[in-house]
Amino acid sequence: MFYATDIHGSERCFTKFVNGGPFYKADVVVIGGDITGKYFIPIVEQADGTITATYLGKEYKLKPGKELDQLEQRIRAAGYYVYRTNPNDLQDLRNNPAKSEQIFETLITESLRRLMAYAEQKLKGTKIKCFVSPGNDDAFFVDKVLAESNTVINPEGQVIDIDGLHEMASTGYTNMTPWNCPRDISEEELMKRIDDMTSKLKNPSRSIFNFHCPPFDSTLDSAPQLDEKLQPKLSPSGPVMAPVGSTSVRTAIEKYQPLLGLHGHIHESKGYLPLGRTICVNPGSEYTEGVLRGFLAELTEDKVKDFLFVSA
Amino acid sequence: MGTTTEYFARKASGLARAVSARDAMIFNIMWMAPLGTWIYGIWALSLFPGADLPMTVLISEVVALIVGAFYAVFSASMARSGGDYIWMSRVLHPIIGLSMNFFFNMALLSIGGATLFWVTQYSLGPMFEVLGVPAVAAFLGSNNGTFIIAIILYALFGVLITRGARVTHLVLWALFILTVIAILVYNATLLSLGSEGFKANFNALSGMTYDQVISAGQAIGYPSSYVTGSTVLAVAFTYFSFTGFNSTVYYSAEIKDVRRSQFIAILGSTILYMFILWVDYYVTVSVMGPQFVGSLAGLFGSNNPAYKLAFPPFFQNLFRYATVGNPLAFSLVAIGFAAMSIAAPLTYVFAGTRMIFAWAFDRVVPISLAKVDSKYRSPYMAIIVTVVMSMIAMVLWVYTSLLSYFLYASFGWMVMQAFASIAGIVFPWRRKDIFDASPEIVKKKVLGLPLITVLGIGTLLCSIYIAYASVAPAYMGTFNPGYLGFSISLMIIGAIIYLIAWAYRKRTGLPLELTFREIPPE
Repeated sequence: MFYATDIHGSERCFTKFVNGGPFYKADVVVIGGDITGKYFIPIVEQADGTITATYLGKEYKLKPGKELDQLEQRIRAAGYYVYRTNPNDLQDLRNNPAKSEQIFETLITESLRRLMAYAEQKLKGTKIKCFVSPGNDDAFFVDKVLAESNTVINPEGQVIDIDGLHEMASTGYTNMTPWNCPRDISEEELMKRIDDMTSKLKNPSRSIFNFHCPPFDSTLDSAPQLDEKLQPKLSPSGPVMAPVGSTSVRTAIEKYQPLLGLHGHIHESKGYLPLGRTICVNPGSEYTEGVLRGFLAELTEDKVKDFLFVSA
Repeated sequence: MGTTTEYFARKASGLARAVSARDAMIFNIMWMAPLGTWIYGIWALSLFPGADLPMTVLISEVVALIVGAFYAVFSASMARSGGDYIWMSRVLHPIIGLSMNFFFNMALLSIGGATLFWVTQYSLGPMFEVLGVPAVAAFLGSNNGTFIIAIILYALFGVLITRGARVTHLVLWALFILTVIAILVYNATLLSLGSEGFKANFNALSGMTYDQVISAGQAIGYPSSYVTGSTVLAVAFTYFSFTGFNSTVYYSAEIKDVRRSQFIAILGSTILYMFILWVDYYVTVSVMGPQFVGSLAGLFGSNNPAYKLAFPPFFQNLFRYATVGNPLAFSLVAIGFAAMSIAAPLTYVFAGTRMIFAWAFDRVVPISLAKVDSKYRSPYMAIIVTVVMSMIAMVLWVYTSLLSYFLYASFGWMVMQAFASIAGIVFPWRRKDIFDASPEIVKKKVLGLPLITVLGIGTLLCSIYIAYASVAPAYMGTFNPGYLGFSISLMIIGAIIYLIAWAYRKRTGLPLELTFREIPPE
């Protein structure tokens, strides 16, 4: 099994993820949530036909063609979306930032369709099962786009037999975050979602919990505490860190003791933690660098034979 | 994201890192142990009579900038914790990465103990002597005293590092400030006293006279003016004191805005260090006189009976003749020197924990070494192992002569740097996918070649010269193959550890090499 998470729109990370299946000879590949990006970059077509953009501190003035293609490729690789526009529309957008919501939906949909097509092309003819879960940052229209794919399976809220031996329960919902993301819910609601799935498990001890949110106080969930302005709270010794994982997730893992807990959500909390017999992992994320952090596991019928963290 | 990027954002989560560019720069500076040159300078003059120390600093800075730029540029491309271990593993072969990094970590943890002697025997001991507390001075000057203080300090390092990167850097800042105070007091005192004042104090209190020192120096052939050949040879020696300016590459993942920060931390630390070193050397030789300092070094280095001081002629020891009736100034300098001598091994232990942590995540050592505590996010198992190993090294330092086998550690360090530079030279072709995705500065062309390749070639040439110089008889006396073999043996042990892990993983079904391979992005 090859697992990665939190690619946040990085097309480079997604293509690596898909290629990771045959590369690692994995039977199952899983993305654990937060697949969509957070920003779009306007690429502005000027009246004289030139293209302008500012990206990573550099102002670009390009002619359509190879250079523009390369810039767009770099932007997409880092998890940003490219928004082709003109000076008037850009000014209108600056004056009405609310319009960006609709633009995001269009750009995310286009990007996801492109990536699903890539996965279909690359995995066609293989026996690799590809699961892509939305995470708390992902809007609900993402599920509809994923459902269009014949190859990629969205496992949200389901218990799926992944190989005839192991079942996987998945959810990208998390406990509440300061950002009130689309799939942030209360611990009670999260517990209910998890209970709905675990009640369907035939053999919990052979199962895999693909829960975007890590278990509470597990070292996989350390994040800076934020103030009311969403700025990190600082102490004389730096940002105040706190566990932000889910108590529901922890309770479920401790109760059912699955083989694996696959988590993400907190990009800089890469790590592993055995909770009883369950190996909980968060491979972390460096999507802005185009680096795919992942986790490889070799499973036997009732145990994790071996595992590796990879960074590709 | 750069500040001038125009973008539109949606509501989503985000996180912060703990170490700023300035913190990282201070880390590098304290690793370099800026006042260590008060000792190294005397050694250099002893080995290379007539060397122009301030000039060696300026030339060394050029070398440091080349090597520093190489490390900063490579970091910009692969900004991952583990630094050159990651680069060598991913670009050349993991067995090279681990063998070099294993040697380096073992050498660091051992050498750190030598620096702790400076705390007790080269700074605080003399301070209590000047303050008229001979019992404390005698305790600190003894090996048992040094050992006890060192063990306490190592335990404190462990606790401190467990509290996280930010806390460790705050302590380094405090130690840096004490070091800067020492530098200011040292230079201001010497300049205000002047040459004649220093000479008068020396004549009155040392048991020797200034002129006797010069005459004795001439008698052993110490030159009366700077010698160009000695200056050129001494550059390699001075450069050794620069090493460490790139140490922040070992914990890139904990540094904010890491690509920009590494440039500031690495290049900034070489420039600041150069400034400190040049001022110290320039003021010292200007006030005390180059021939006087050189003659003392020559007499001390050759165990000449004409040398009558009760202590080595290190700058902080000679400083007592500039602080007659001013124990406060002497104490401030001694405290600053001790602070620096504590900070350096603290940085070694900190980096050592990160290296072991990286090995554990790569599964070449047991994964339990990657365990972190929930409150401070610190790799406590790696910290415990690192501190215990440092303490064991301290026992060996104090009570045996075994660690003299690290005499050629500088050679090993330069071999490691050479392999890192080879990784950089071939990087654009061996890892084209990563290179193509790198920031523009990495791909910039110079003389038709990628900048990282050009800097890699420069770093390789510097490394080869300094590696050669570090084992040349001119530096270390009679060449001892056993000492060199020790360093090489550590590299071989690192390779063996890799092979054992590789063989084990092969049996379990997940080949270790998968950790180091890049998935094709297309």
